Amino acid sequence: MPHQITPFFPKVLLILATTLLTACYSVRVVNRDAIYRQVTPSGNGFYADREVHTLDTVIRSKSWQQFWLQEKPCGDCGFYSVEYLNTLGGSLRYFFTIGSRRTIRIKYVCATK
Amino acid sequence: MATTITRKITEYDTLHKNGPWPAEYMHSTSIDGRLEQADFFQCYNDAAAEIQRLLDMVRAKGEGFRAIGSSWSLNHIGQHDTHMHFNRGMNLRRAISVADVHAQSSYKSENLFFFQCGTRVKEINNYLFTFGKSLKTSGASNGQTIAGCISTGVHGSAHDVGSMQDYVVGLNLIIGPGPNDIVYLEPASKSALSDAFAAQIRARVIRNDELFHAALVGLGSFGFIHGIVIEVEDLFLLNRYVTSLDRAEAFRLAGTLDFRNSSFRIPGEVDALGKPNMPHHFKVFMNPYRHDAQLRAEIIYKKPYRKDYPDPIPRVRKALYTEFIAGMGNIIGRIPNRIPALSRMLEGAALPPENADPNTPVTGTHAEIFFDSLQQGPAFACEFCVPLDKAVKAYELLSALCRNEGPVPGLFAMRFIRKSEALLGCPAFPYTCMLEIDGVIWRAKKKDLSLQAFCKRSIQVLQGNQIPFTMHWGKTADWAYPGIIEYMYGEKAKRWREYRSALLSKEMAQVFSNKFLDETGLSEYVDNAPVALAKSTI
Repeated sequence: MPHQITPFFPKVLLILATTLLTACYSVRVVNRDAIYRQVTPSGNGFYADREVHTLDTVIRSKSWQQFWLQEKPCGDCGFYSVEYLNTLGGSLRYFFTIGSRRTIRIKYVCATK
Repeated sequence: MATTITRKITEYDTLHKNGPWPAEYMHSTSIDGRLEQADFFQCYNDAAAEIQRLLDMVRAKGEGFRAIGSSWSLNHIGQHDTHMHFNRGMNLRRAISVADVHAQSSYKSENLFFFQCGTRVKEINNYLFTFGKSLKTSGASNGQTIAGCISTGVHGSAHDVGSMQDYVVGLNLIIGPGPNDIVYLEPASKSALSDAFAAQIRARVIRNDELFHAALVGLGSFGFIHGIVIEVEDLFLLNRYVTSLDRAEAFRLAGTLDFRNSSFRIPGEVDALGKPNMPHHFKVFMNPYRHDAQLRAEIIYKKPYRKDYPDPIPRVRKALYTEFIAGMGNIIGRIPNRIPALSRMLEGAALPPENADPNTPVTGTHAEIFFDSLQQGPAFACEFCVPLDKAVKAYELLSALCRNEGPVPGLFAMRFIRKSEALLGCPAFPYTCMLEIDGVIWRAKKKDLSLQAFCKRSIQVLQGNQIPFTMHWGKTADWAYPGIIEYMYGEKAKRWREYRSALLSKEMAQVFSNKFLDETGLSEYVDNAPVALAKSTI
């Protein structure tokens, strides 16, 4: 007897695809007048010749608390760009811990004088 | 003290992934921040001493030294098998004062600025803006370093200005490790800076027109360019239109630049008699696989500066993921008959979008119109400089080459600039059309046309049809093609070698040579070059 695809299966796929799409995204903000710290090219894309730093951590916090990270990465030159990345793993962690574990993944490039 | 960080590396690649090529060491020198605050000249001379220390070390080992900036060149002009130097941390800048200017100079001190080699175009733009000044022209974007720009002849399409090297008025070169090896070079016929200024950077002065013009586009081989004096102008605005132009008229304009008698006109850009104004910049785009009746064109008019104009830089910018571009290049090489379709896709991604209203410009300063680049992935770009009256013929020949022997995943464009005074300047004709094809690096199957084969065939096709041409030093080309330098520059190439040999010792000429120079035959040292070639002529 041929195997039948139940109507339930496409719905699961659709939910899964939607979850993946909404869970993985990034937002990049660039200080347009700044000059980025440059390195010799390696890799591809936006960061190919930029000195990029990645902040990758999990913050434990009550779901009703706000928080902020206090870093001093760029001296007095400030940021050239900051990118916040939301990953599927981060979203799942947040969901299953009811907001008490927050995955922080940020890529930033410092400006230069 | 200036500090140098040295990394052991195995290979070097450009920003657009045109390599990789072997390399052993990457040095990176940074100026001393405390000295920078305290005394410009002390900081600058301290950096010069550090470069001389590196040169002495390399010379003693019998190895080579190559300075690089942002690595935007699309070939191996910046590569060396042994020592490479990343100039990024050397970005001092200084406005020239009245006291710094030569007594007989015709330059206004307010228009002269001194930049250290690693200063990027965007930094220069920002700095000049604070003085109410602007670069006269630049490339289409702003990430290159000033030394890299002039060494390879970066240009835009400001046909009344020329290339970036054409507004350089003085060069500070380090040609060896000795105390007499720091040189300030400027033309004898148009002095810019005083001997007192040169003394402050511990340089001996050479005022010599031909030597200066040989060193201007020096391909990184006339010594280490440490400082550059440029002439700028008052801040101005550009009215930028991206519109469609009738193909026949676009080609007539490409061959003549006769805008005054053109049927193409923009209502706001005509004179009192209703005749079209001459634009400051003209660029036209062509897809070799389509015979469109209308061609996309970028036309820019220069206007006096005013403050009340809307912000021309879009708040949100979009570009294709570079991984997507690289992947496409790999895939389409296997299915070459899809390349023409890809070229149509490229039009959407690479060509500037037409203005919403074709008669309403986007207005901005030079720095705002030629802003940060969006194109960062693997790419090739070939560029042939041809006389204006041969522009259309050259395009027809090369586009036919793409169609008949290709396909080639790229789009053509034509830009226009006036002749450069530099001995090896790419714009070698009174008015030069820069005919370029930019595209995705593709991996061709054995029987199909590869990028290397396309570069070789382009030369053969243009030579076979008696088209005089030169090639942009920073672009993709078959630089090892036999006799190509002599075909392009003839006697000028011979003189360039002589001037280089007169200025540099044989030992240091070897230090400042590389594979690119060897392939082109330009590294050849002329043992009996007259010493007088490297002396002041006044």
